[in-house]
Amino acid sequence: MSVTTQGEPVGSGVVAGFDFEEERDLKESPYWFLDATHSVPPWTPMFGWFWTHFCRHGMQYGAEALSLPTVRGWDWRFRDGGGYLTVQAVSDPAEIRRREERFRVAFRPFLESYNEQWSGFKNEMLGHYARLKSVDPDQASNFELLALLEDTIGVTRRMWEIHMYMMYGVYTIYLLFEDLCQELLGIDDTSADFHRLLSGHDNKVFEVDRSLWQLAKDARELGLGDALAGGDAAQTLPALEASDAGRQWLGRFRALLDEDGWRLQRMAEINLPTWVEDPTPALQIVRRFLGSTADFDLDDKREELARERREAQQAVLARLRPEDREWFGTLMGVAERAGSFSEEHNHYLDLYTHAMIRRTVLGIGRRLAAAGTIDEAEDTFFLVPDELRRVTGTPEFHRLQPLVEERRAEWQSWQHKENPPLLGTLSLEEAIGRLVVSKDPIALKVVVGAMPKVDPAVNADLYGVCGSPGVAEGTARVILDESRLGDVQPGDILVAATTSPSWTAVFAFVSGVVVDRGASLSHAAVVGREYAIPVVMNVFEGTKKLRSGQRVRVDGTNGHVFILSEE
Amino acid sequence: MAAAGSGQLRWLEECPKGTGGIGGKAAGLGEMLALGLRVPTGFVVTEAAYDAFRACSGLEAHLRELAALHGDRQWMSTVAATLREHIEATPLPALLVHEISRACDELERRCGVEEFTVAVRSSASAEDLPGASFAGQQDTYLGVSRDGLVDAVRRCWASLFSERAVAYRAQMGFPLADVSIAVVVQKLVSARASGVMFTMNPVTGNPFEVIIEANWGLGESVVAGTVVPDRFVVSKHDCTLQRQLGEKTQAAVVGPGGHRMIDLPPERQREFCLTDAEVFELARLGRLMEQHYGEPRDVEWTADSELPFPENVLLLQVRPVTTTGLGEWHCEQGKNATDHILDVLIGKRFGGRGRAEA
Repeated sequence: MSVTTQGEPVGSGVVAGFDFEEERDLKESPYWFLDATHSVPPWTPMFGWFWTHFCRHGMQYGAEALSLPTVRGWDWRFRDGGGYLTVQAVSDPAEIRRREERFRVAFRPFLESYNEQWSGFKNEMLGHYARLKSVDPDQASNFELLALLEDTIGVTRRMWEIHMYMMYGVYTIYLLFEDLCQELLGIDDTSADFHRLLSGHDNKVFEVDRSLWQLAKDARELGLGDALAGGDAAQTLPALEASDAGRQWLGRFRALLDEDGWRLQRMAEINLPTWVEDPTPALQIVRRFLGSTADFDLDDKREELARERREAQQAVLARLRPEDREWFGTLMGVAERAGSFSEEHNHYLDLYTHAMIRRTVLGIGRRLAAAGTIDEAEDTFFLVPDELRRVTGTPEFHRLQPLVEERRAEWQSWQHKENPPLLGTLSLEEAIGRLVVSKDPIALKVVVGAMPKVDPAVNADLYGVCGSPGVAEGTARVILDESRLGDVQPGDILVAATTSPSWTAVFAFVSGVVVDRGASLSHAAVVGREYAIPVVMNVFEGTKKLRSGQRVRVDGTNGHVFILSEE
Repeated sequence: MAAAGSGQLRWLEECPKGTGGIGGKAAGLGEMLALGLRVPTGFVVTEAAYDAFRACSGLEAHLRELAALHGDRQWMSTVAATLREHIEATPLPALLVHEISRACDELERRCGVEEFTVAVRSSASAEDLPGASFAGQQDTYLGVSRDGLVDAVRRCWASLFSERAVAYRAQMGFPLADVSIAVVVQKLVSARASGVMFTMNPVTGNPFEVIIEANWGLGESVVAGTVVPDRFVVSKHDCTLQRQLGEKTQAAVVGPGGHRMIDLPPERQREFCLTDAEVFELARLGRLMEQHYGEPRDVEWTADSELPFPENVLLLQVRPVTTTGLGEWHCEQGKNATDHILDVLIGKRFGGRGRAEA
């Protein structure tokens, strides 16, 4: 079959319609924040396309579905692999009042049937994933692949609708609860006492860790310690296949991966394999559990935290007049779900959907590579869906490799320069002021967070905010990329730019955590509290200032990090 | 053993929860004993004793006059003064005197000393009502000897008609004359240090901290705020302790008619008046009480100088901490919880009344 070798015309933009254009976009808003939590390091074009389109759509949908009185979601742009956002605040008092009236009706389910609502969404998404997985991309026709692409896009859009509807709702409650605790009890979310009111909930991510611990126990009983002892999946899997016991164990392991292994190493990017493709990270966790004969004590810790939570809540309710106890209890009941929602939604929503995007895009990529449209399946990460739509029906007639090469070169250049944290004409303080006026709960909790307070008297090397209270000392272990998580040793202080659910397992044995960016509902803070280890968030330059091997002290309660000695 | 068949005297351990006619303070002490908390041993001269006295003392005419005077402050204080004088001048019924004397024999046996002294405190019914902090509205007599006991009881009764107490009742709309009072008589501890404890932080409202304030000697200097006491903050969760040395320039000791203040030498001022173990023991007792009562408590306590630890840590009085409300976010009775949360959300999180700032 003949193939055109002529290159397709190279597009000027990456995410058509949403590439940042200064002249146009500064007219819309004078401030655009870099989403440093998700888009550092810079995204591939394919992932950037999905995020920019549908995270944006989800936020606007969520704000509208709840009729948040003062905000209508965020607008997003893509610039050199970075996601940039601005908040769309409502300022007309008459409109705020109209939205308040609708809010009163729209928000009710959050208070009256939180659990039913969230489990309904989880089941809906699991249904979508099962449908996507039922298509085998290698057996599908070109047009079935195109249909799978459209379905994946639709599922991503729906995921973000659920994601932001839930997140706006949960954070709205959480912030109100935080305000009232400040007023009533004199404690805020940098206080250990505040977190005791909300900690001690199980969630899906812990459940996966518990299953891996059980698998480690099985491996010990089956005498598979040596087979699991070293190397990556490429070495370990054949060693296990060699024995009956090993095959029996692998059966259980694969069953777990098939259900829960649809997670990406980096939460907001698709260019690294899922656990299903490369189970090395899961095997590393199993190996870690195998090395320690101690019981999986997370359950005991959780029970202890849950008991403390119930006591703390009773103490708070006892301080109120009887007629205030019911509503305050209801409010607290939803607020306490914020931590587990924050952790669990990553599993059911972002991670799983992004794993599905990777599966679909690579499936199309293999077809295109076989037809010579591109060289490798992974080249699709440098394309965007419109380009796949154009070529997948008749791939032999197209050649996208020149475009891939140009985009790849561009992407590589993004990796070597830093995206500015703020674009526009406002100072950082002025821009943050805009967010505060919008009262957007996600902006306040995720983008702004609490800014570290520098206290010269304590002379700390880094200042952040409390993610989880307590003090610990240990050897710093700077981990920039999830594939290096195997380097973390028991008792280490984990230092990261940001963490995500696939990092959860190391929280079981590190003694403290330092994170560059984030706030009290970020992954590291939520998980740190459940494991009762100190976590300092929002130190900005932890991964730059700290080096692996240094002895450090982490004071989670006050948000201080001290370098005690070199190596 | 029962103190008396007449019901005019009761030992504190015979006052389980729900015992009527003994006033708030005695009821609190009885409940504490039932919980296994330590309080100085003693008995209650019950409201029945006052009622019997009132019936045979010729008080009624004055009381009727007082009851009729609602609102007239000038006359009220004159009539109240007459009532007090009358009470203090009228002998107690012989039966009651006899019962008190027998109770003193028992107290002597319990203390193991002949020359014991007691603390005599009034225990009124209106006192300690949650939300109406009536504390300190009646009198307390410390270091009372056996011979002075009857007189002290009579003065406690008279304190029911102190100018302050009558004015307070008038202001609160409580009955002026038709009230009763019990009197608690307890062995006077030899107080090395004393003070107050809150099972929550009364300043910030933090329910996860126990606050203890202490000074050498009797607790009066702490209650009255005449010195800056030592301050101890115990976290209920991890039992961490923060200590803050006070400026304990003076201490209260037993003196004629109650207590007197003495100056403390500098070395005593520089020393914490409680050991960490005593602080933790107090906090433990405080939490026990809070769990039992289901709400924060305000406790008066003392550390006895003669008893060994931990028996020396004794509780004198316990009452609810007057609860702080949610201010403007308070929910009216009968309103649906969801509706209220939605109102608070709109009002507090999204502007509402605060919209002017935007």
